[in-house]
Amino acid sequence: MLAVRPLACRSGVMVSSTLLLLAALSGLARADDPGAWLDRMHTALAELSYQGEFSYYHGGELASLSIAHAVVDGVRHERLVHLNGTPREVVRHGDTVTCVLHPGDRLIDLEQSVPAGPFAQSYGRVLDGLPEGYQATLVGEDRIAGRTAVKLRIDPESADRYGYRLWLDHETALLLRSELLDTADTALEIFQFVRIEIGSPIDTVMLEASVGDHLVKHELVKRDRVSPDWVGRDPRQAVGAFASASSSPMTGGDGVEWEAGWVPAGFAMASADIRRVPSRTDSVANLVYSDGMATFSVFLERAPADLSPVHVARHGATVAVMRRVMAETPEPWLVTVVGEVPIETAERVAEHIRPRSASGD
Amino acid sequence: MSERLRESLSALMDDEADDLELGRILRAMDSGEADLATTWSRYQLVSAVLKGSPASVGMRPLALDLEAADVDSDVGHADGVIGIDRAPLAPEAARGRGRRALGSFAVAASITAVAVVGWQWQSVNEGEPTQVASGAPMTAPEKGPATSILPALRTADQRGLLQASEQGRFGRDAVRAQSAAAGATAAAAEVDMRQRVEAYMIRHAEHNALHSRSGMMPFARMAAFDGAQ
Repeated sequence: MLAVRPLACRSGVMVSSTLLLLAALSGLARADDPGAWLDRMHTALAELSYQGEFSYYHGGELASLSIAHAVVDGVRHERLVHLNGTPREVVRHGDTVTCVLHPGDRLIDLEQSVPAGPFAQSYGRVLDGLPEGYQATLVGEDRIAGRTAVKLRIDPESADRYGYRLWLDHETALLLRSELLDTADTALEIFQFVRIEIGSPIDTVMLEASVGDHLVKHELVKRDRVSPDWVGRDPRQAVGAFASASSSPMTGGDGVEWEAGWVPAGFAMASADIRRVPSRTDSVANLVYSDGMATFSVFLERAPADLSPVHVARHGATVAVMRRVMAETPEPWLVTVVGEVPIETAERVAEHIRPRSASGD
Repeated sequence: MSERLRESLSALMDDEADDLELGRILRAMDSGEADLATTWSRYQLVSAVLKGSPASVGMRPLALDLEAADVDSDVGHADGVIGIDRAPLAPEAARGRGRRALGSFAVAASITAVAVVGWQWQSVNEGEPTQVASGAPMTAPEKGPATSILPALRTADQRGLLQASEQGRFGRDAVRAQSAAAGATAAAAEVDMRQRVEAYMIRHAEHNALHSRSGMMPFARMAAFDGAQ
């Protein structure tokens, strides 16, 4: 475009090209700013209508799922269907999420093996742009599911969390592909649309759960029961306050106070909840920590007898560390840390969750 | 735990421990050094993650490595301190050099209480399919606690680290016998543990899906639970 004005003086070229750029980018605020792209991605995921199929690689397995998403009368509707293996679907209407499972699905047994219950409303920080602790760079363009995509790299500043590569639709900023990378840059988890329609109207049938007498449905409901006082405070205090609450009549009054001696820098408690085991009087304390990109959950419960002191499991990008805590409590407790964080991080978090009185090293 | 001991453990991890370092570790074991077992297991986890190696997931008990490193029996290995020295299986073997192996494996048995449930490691780009990585069944009672240690033994075998010595074989038998004696309750506990871990993974995915700004993508994680049988 500069070639058509060969005689323009130097400053003239600069002014006109700047104006042209501004005009071209008026719809894409700060197109060269990775943080702005991330903001747009979150908005696009929540507000756009889209439907398509995606592949999901996780822990050496490749799954295919279909997704339909639309906002109807201000309420978010979403449906996810597993296309391979055991038929499963997940349907969201606003804040209510229903899992639809077929009899015999292993998930049904698993669901019952730990306490279920409503999820506490998250008070997670509403982050603008790029969270603390990460560097983002735009690394060019690519093509995913037939659409032009902008490629972003998000690198952690320390080895206690994972990095990401994201491909966002150039036109709408919708996430088309994402990779979760370990410290050696190996993708632990890959999500990628193989076909997507964006912006076209969606038949409401696509957004409704399947019906059938034999189907097992279980509903997840957000619940507004977390005290905002606990969130955003020093994580150690937060756990303390939370543990105090667990010594309410819910646990029969013999609750133990816990503290998190260590969480990675930048992680803050996003929510806390206590769930009661239906068959017992015990309750499970659940804390969720997030740094805006990654999350991990901490579960605390009384330990059943005969468990080994430490268990470690891994499922793709998700690791779980289960640790029995004996110190200064009348009976053993079980600390479980689950999250998309490096295993050393989960281990260290689990290791530093301890009864309050046993602190002070 | 001292920094020096950490370094020694780290050296052992890399098969680079010299006699001094081995001696230091043995003395620490004898004196019941706190955190020795957990530090060792953490080093292994770190190493496994760094290498992405499924073979290292079946944790190598500390004592196995000491065994492999051909520890001299006079490095100050006191009686009884290590623990399950009193195995009823072969009292005659608990004398002389036999004690070393028994003692070592007894420690191994206690350390492998640090069990790895890792049934789903990042094993796709490894040449050799290992049962260690893809989940030795924990449901069969006779395999219960033994799954914790036998993969580790196999691993040691594969690496040619485990000496096919009298002590080595004896130690292995001792472990088997102890495992069998532990009975079905321990196996049931392992299954329970594993179920709990999986269930919490699902809870975590559900919670994430409900709260994250990425919508229901985390639910995709539940897809992979088919293969975990």
